[in-house]
Amino acid sequence: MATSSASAIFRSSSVKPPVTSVAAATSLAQKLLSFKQTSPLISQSLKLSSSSSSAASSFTRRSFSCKSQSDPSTDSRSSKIQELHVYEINERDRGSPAYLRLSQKTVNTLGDLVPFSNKVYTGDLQKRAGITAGICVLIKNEPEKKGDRYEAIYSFYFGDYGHIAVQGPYLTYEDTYLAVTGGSGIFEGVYGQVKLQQIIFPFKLFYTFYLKGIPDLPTELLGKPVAPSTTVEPTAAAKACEPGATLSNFTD
Amino acid sequence: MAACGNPAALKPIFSSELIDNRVASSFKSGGNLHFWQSVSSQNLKISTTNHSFSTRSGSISTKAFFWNIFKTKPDSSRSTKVQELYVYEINERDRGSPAYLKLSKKEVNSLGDLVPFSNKLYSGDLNKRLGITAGLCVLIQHVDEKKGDRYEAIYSFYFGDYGHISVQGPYLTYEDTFLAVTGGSGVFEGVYGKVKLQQIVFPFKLFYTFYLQGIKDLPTELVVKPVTPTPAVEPSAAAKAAEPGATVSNFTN
Repeated sequence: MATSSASAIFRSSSVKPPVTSVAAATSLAQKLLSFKQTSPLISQSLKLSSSSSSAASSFTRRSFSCKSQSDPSTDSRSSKIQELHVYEINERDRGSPAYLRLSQKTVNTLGDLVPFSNKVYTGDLQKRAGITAGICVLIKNEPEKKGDRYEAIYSFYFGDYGHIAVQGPYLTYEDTYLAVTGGSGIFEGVYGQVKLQQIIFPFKLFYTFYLKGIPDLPTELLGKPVAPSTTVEPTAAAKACEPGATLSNFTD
Repeated sequence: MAACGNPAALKPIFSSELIDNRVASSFKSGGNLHFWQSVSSQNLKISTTNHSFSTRSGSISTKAFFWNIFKTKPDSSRSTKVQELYVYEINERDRGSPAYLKLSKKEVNSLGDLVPFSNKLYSGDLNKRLGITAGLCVLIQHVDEKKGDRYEAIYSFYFGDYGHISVQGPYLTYEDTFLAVTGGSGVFEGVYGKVKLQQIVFPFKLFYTFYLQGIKDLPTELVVKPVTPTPAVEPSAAAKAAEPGATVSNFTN
């Protein structure tokens, strides 16, 4: 495991190291670092020498701009958090949810299963993104809260961009955080969590994803989200899935 | 999960051999060295690779100095340190669990049967009530020679205000398995790794050893010396009663 840890050190986040002045730098002993570089610039043109601070005085004030040249998609997982906002809306035209009362009891009871699939819109409600699809397993009815606890396992589909898979608690009476378990397409390798907020139970939900481990999201998905309220609606164009108001090959 | 299987065929499974293996493995898995500490003690601070340095080659003196301050931001990179977490899952038969849905409509357990379940979760030292497990077992096949079943299990462990851990993987009623840790929330946000499932008393008592990576150090309240699993282990009376001080904050129920 130690070797993998070593490589883990070298591949870390997309933090850009700050440029330092010579004065600050001289206080750091010069260490020779040998590390794997894919950039030929580094391996060929770099001359390293270590010497005492007297050498530093001959070091003119030259600033190096260090920028990460790495391709994030080939790098190991970036730990930068990216927020993604989406709305999930049940327009009651997908036969969803399908409440399977397999417990055969009148009150919601462990044994009931609820497959479901709703429409997904970008957070700014300008574009139809795709759908959600999955299952809610009823765990417990909470009479004092006048609601239920479900274990939810489902995915969010974003057309050609791919999908995000999640798993975690769905409480009909309060907001929850689910785990982001993985994804495909631009979301391949994703991890993190997602906050679920019910706007109108059970028809409108607002999600805030806190995603890590993936390259920068396309700007199309990063529009300024409409603040959740009971009256928010997707634009007519998005609802009608007009060209320009959907993601490419949005999932339907 | 203390869930699956035909309730009519209760067979406590005793295995001292399994217990010995667990004790042995907890010494072997020690997990990663604290590599960050050992590296930083040498004053090596490294962040990203592949830096391009824009220098005008003409102005590089013969003594070309390569200055680079690499600062680690430990909280922004994904720790590979393995942390072990021990919990007991106990079915106290007061949650209507498991709900065996014989959708295959066959006499013997068959593909098509689904088993939603939810049991109570206690800390490894059995002194605190943590929360619950909640999820679904999908029966895959009945294994005659082993007199048991294979399930695909998808469920979560809830730890009250600390958050949850989601897992997915095989549940075999006749032997111990490893499941994948697929993610988490709260203090477990970003977690990955695996979890070992050991049945103590099928299907009522299970002991889990999580091997968690990718998260900050676990809260000390969760890091306890576990009680060695035996069929007779029971949570403390205070934990069972969920008395104040014998639970985590807002334990899931």
